[in-house]
Amino acid sequence: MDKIVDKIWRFFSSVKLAIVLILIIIATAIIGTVIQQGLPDEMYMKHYGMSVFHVLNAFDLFDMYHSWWFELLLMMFIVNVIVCTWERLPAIFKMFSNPKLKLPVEHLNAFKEKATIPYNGSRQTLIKNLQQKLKEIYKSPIHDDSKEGDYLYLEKGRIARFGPYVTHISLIIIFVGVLIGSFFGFESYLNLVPGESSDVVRTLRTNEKITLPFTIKCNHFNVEFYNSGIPKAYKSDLSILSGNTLVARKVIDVNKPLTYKGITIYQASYGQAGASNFSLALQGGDHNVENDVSLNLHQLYHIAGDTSIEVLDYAQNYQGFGPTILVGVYKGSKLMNTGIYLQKYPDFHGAERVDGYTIKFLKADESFYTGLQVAKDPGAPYVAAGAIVLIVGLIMSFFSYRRRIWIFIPDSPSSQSFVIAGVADRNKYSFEMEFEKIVQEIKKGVNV
Amino acid sequence: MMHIGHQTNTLLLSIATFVYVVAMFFYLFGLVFKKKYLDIAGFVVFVVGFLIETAGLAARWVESYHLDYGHIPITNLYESLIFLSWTIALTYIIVDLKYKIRKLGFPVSLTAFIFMAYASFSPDVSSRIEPLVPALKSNWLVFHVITSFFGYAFFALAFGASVFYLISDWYTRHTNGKVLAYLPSTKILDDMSYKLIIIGEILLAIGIITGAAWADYAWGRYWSWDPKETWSLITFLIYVVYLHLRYSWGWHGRAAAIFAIVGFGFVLFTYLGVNLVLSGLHSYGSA
Ligand code: HEM
Repeated sequence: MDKIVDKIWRFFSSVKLAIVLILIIIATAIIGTVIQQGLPDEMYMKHYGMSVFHVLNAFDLFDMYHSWWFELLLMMFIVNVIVCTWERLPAIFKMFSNPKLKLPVEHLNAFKEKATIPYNGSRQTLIKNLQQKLKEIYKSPIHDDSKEGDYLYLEKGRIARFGPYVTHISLIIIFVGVLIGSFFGFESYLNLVPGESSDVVRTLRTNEKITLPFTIKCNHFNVEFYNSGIPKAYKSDLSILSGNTLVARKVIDVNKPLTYKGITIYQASYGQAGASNFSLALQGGDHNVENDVSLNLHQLYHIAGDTSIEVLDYAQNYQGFGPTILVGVYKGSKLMNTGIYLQKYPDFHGAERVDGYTIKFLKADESFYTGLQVAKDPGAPYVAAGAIVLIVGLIMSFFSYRRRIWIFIPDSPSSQSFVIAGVADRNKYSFEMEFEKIVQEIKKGVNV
Repeated sequence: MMHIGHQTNTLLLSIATFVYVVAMFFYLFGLVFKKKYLDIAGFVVFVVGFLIETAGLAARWVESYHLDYGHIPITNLYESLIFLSWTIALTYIIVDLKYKIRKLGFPVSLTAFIFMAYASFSPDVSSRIEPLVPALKSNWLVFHVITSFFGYAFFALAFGASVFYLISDWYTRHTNGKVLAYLPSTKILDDMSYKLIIIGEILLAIGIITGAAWADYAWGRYWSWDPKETWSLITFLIYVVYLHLRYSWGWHGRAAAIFAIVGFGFVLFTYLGVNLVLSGLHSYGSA
């Protein structure tokens, strides 16, 4: 039993596994960007044909990021991170509390960066000189001695050794946040026409009903457009009701949601709902009076004699000219003529009169529904915290690097030289230059 | 309606495109004739091109306010191509001032030119200043684009350094150890490529995170596996593999250079491919 656990543990503690897993995750994640995800089945059947459809569907490739096998891959990956971190962290702490001050000369000689420097005078003076010099040019060394001789130890950029662990732990924090979100959170939508209210929302992917602990009421919805017809802003004035009492009210905007009781309501979209109401000005007739009239879509309006008009159609932005209506002119019940009226260019149709009347299109009261996204994600703060820790870890890892230098001065009457050797965890090239400089400085400083 | 090409910003940006070509030729002659003064001339011309491009972007920003749209010029394909060439140019200038690796100026000015020319001359890319739809009005988005693009820029330079590494390495191996005098040593190129990737990776991480924050503010979900998001994560992971191979296996030199070059393919696909290639495959979805 222990043996199996041991084996599994060893399997998950390998960096090789990490690389293989990441490469598999990359390869599979690409599939999901090539096959569009989450469309209705009929679209896939039409596009791929039935037999291909069945194969792809069997592998959950139409919703692969939520499939069991992709989630299993992510699980394995996170277990990998946890085991890796768990196993190596004690060594890191030990290294911190108990650095290797002495290394056998054979080790020192095996390093790529090393030098042997002759000196005159006594060992004691040399050590004092070195300590002084190193403090000036690099760092105060730690002095230690053994029966073979004296050691001076220098270390810089220790914090960088912690960086990878901070980064890996951040991944675990993010993962915890994602798990919390997927168990205790939901994502849903709700469409409301102004005046309407509801406490039931539908989830995004599965379209299930969820009842909220409060009611959302849309008091107003307002959308503004640029001249080109692209939406400029859309905002909903929302009330949150608990029973019949108003507990919160806010105008929400895209990127400016409302949060109540841990549930956040976002302005996600909007759409056109129902018939619109149009204001027209009619001018002319016998007394040249101006009449403002208000019409619904397809409502017949009687002008004079047997002539009447009707708004047949409406476009928010007809060929870039802005709000436009199509008006039909009737004689009796017969449609005689149609004309286009532009809100922004009232004279565009000025010459044409209907039975002596000019028609101006003043404005349209469009009725829109507001598209709200209603979401709860108690894991999000953890994900955010993990993200910050991730960046901190990366910066710790990379804005410094650990390098260690040992100086060994053998205790032998015959030898009048000492060894200096060093190693860096990363940035070997930068260290090479640094090391060379230190050696030069020492040579100058010691043999005056 | 506005007339394309009659505005200050597009005029300045066209001039900058031209100046980058001039810089590129100086650098090219510098490589061919091995004269230092040609490199220096290339660098000076390049900086001039960069300043003109900066002015062009600033003018565009100001003009967007005159049009009442008022937004930083990084929001459509035209602007993003220009902005990417700008970030690459700025990153190169900073790296050059630190490392004095003039030679990198050739691929950099070529790249800056290609992006600008594509923006200016491709019929698919409109240079009109367009208003922002509400979802794009977010400071997170501004951070997101700036950090991601500087990330791309550092990866691009790492790519350049890695290509030079391979050239230099190839030359040394085929001439019995002679060194290409006019390129930095392979050691420097290897080290440089690695450091550039590190900075690129940190910026890309910040870019992904700020993008997620933006999505969270706009829609209440920080991650939805859409192709652009997914590809940026893939690119991040590719370089995670690079870092681990380098750290735990001691990969460096030729293998690392080839990896960095392949990695940049992922960067390019994340930036352009997702929009140009994948949207084609997706078009049936909107039918
Ligand atoms: C997205 C996932 C990951 C990220 C962002 C990440 C990040 C990092 C970073 C930045 C370093 C420092 C590298 C350097 O100094 O050049 C590192 C080192 C390392 N990583 Fe990861 N890593 C990830 C996944 C993993 C996994 C799954 C494992 C599990 C085997 C792992 C094991 C290691 C080890 C053993 C080191 C060396 C640590 C040391 O200095 O002792 N990493 N990682």
